[in-house]
Amino acid sequence: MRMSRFNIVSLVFGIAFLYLPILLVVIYSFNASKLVTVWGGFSGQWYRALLSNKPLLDAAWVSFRIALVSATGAAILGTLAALALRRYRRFRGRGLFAFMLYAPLVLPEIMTGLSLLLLFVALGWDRGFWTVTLAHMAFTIAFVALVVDARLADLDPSYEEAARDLGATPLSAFMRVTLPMIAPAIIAGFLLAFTLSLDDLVIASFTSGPGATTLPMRLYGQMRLGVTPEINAASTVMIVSVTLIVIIVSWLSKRRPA
Amino acid sequence: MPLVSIEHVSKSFGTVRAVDDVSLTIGEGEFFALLGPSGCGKTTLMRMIAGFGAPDQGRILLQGRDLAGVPPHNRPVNMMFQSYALFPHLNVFDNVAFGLREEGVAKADIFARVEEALRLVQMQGFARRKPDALSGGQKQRVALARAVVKRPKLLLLDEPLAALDRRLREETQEELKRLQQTLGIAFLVVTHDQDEAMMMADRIAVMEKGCVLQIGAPATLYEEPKSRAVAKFIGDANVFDPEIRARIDDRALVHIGVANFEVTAPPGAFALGLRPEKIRVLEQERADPDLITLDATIDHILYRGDVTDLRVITNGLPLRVSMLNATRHKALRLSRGDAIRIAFDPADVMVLSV
Ligand SMILES: Nc1ncnc2c1ncn2[C@@H]1O[C@H](COP(=O)(O)OP(=O)(O)OP(=O)(O)O)[C@@H](O)[C@H]1O
Ligand SMILES: [Mg+2]
Repeated sequence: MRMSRFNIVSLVFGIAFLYLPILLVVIYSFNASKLVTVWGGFSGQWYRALLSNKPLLDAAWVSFRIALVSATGAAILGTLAALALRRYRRFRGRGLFAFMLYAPLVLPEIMTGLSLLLLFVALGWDRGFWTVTLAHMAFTIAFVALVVDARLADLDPSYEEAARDLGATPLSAFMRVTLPMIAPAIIAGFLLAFTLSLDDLVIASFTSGPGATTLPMRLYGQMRLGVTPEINAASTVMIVSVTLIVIIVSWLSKRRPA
Repeated sequence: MPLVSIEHVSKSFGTVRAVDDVSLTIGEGEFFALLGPSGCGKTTLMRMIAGFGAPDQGRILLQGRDLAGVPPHNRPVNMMFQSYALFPHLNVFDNVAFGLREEGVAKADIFARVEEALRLVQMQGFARRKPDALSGGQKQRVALARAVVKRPKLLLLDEPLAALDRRLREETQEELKRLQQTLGIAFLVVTHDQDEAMMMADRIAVMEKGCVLQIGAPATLYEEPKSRAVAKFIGDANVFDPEIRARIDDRALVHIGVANFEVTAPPGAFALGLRPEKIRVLEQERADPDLITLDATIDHILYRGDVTDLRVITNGLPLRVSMLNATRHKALRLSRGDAIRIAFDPADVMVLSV
C-alpha cells in the first residue's frame, strides 16, 4: 500500500517530535564547547569527564545493582503470579489477586512511591538500597506477570500433560518442559523490569535514603544546577543501553516458541 | 482378569454429561477402539484412564487395582496425544528419552532403548532433529516411539492418524496394527473414522453422547448391530419401521413395502435393517424361492469402480443397493429409470432396537 503525502508528512513529524530531542542530546554529548546549545566541534571529552565523575559512577553502580536485584525478584515472583492465575482458574480471592497484581500498571508512580514511603516509615525501616529495591520489585512484578501470562496463554497444556504422562512429577514436568518453553518470556520480563528500575526517578526519590542515590536521581540533582554536556553524555549512555535492552526484549517476545 | 475394567464411569463438565455410565473391559494385548462422532466423550474417557481428570462416579481398574488417586506419572499407561505434544525444545532423541530419564533408567540402557524405539517406527536417522523440522507423518512416528519406549501395559492413542493425509493414514493403520502385535501391548485407540476402527481393532465400543451403545468385534457390530444408531453409524444400512402383522412368541410377521416375511424379535417395538450389499440385483436368473423379490426402479446411480451404489424405489419405498461389479458389463447395462428386479434373504434382515 502506498502512503499518501499527508501520511508521510505526519509520520515524519511524529517521529521527529519523538526522537529529535533524543538525537539532540546524543549530538550535543559530543560537543567540544562547554555551552550546551552552541556547537563547538566534535569531542569525546564529556565521556572522559563522566569516567572521572565519582558520584555519578557510584550512582550508576547503585542503579545497576538495584535493577539487577529487583528485576530478578520481579521475574521470579511475576512468573509465579502468572502461573497461579493461569493454572488455578478458581480460587478464593482470585479476582482480587489479579486486580492487585495488575494495579501498579495504571497506578500513578507518585502514589506507589508515596504509599511505599509511608509503609517503610511505619515499619521503621532505614531507607536505602533495600527499600528502593523492594519498591522497584513491587511495581515491576506486574509487568513481568503480564509478559509471562501472554506466553502461558498460548502454551498448549498438552505439553505438560505429556510430560506427566511420561512419568514426570508436577515439579519435574514444570522444570523440564514448561520452564524452558516460557523462558524467553521470563527473560523478556526480567529485562523489562530491569529497564523500568533503571529509568525510575519518582519511586526511587520517595524510597531512597542516604548512600543509595540512583543514577536518575543524581542526574536530576545535577541538572538543577544547570545542564552540562556531561549530562548529555550520561544520558546518551543510558539511552543506548536501554535501547539495546528493548531490542532484545522485542526479539525475545516475538520469537516463535522454540 | 481383564487388563483394564471401566465400571459405570461418569463425568460431567458443568451441565454437559461428557461420559455417561460407561462400562467396558480391555484385555491384555487387545487392540480396542473407541468409536463415535465428535464430542461424544471419547477423549474425556481416555484422559480419565491416563489420570487427567477423575471420574465423578464409577471406578477404573488396572489389573484389578483401583486407579483412583493415582497421579498420571505413576500409572503404567502412556498416551499419544492428538496434537502429538512433542517437546519443541528437545530433539527427537531427547523427546523419546524423556520418559526413561524420568524413570531413572541407566544411561547406556536409555541409548539402546531409544534406538530400538526409533527403529520400530523407522525414524533411526532423525535422532538429532528438532520436532519443528519434521513432517506430520514423522512427528506422528516420533510421538508413537515416545509413548511405547516405556513399555506401558496400555497405550492410549487419541486420534493417532487424524492429522495424516489419506494415503499415509492407510499405510500407518497397517503399521500400527503390526506394531501392536509385535509389542504385545494393549492399545486403546480413539477415532471417529469407522473404517479405521474396523480395520485395526479387535473390538470396538461405539459411543454416542457419552454413552456406549454397543461393544463388539468389527464383524459383530457390522452384521449384528443391536440398535438403529449402531447400524447407521457402522457402515451403510437401509432401516425400516415395519408394520407388525402377527406375533407368536418371539416370531413376528412383518410387512415392509410390499414384502411380508418372518423375523425373530424380542417383545416390543423394533426396527429392521438391511445392508445395501445384501440386496441382489437380479439379471435373467430365476430367483431362489427363499428370497424375497421385489420390482424396483433405479432413481440414482453412483458408479464407484469396484461397486455401483444404486438408489432404487420399490412401491414408494426408497432403498440403497450396493452391487458388486463382478463382471465388466454389469454396471454399463444399467441406467437411471430402468426397471429392475431385486432380491434379499429375510435371514439377512437385522432386527434393531429403535
Ligand atoms: N475441559 C472441559 N471443559 C468443559 N467441557 C468439556 C471439557 N472437555 C470436554 N468437554 C465437553 O465434553 C464433551 C465430550 O468431549 P470430548 O473431548 O471427550 O469429545 P470427543 O469424543 O473426544 O470429540 P472429538 O472427536 O471432537 O475429539 C463435549 O461436549 C465437550 O464440549
Ligand atoms: Mg477427542
